[in-house]
Amino acid sequence: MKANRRKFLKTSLVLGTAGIGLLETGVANAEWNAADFAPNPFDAAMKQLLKGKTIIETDKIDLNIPEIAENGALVPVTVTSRIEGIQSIAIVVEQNPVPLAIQAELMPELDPFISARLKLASTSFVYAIAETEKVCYSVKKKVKVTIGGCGG
Amino acid sequence: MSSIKIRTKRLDGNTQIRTLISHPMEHGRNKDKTTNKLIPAHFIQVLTVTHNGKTIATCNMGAGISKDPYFAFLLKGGKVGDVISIDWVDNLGNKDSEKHTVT
Repeated sequence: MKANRRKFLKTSLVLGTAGIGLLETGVANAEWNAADFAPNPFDAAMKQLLKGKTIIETDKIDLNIPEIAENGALVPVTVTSRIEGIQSIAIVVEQNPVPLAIQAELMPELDPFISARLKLASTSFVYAIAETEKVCYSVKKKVKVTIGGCGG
Repeated sequence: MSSIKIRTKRLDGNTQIRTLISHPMEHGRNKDKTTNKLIPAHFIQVLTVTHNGKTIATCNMGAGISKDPYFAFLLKGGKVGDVISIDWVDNLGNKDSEKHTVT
């Protein structure tokens, strides 16, 4: 146990030092992957997120989001899944400069449910992607933003 | 005062965990209207939820989450006296954490 801890500390130190130069934000964080949240076009972001897994459209995920959002800076979203063995739920906004909004890794103690509030840059499709061990399930919904969502 | 508020509610044998965090969540593309300079990015990167010391959710997020973020989770089971703690780390290295006991 102790040896493992040493090794972990050593590797994290090495990785951390290497990482600082690469990250724009300047803070190295072991879990947060800067590449996932890079300002990519939608296709590239999806590729990065799926990591080679196939994606299947399904109706077993409920994506609850208003069809018309008056204010794109605050759009409530709720994702509930009825699929067994969900490991993580991600929410991706197609038209945002950084499409991936959140990726939540949920342990089996939690129901496959998450609720959050998103920022939408403009009218866009919102995808909820539930990841199991082998495949990803997705569901999408269009949200119309009536005024600019980015405040600027 | 802590930036995190946690509320829990027992629902049909499950426990709903709701949290509200006060954080600017700036994505770095907004301009300050008075100085006309870009406001630097400042957003939460990792949010962790633990239940009696065991991590139950790790959320990695970008600035696509709105200002003063709200999250809700649904814990299977859970009982009175369970300790839920939530902590976050942002891109500037700031941290905060808060504990809550289910009642």
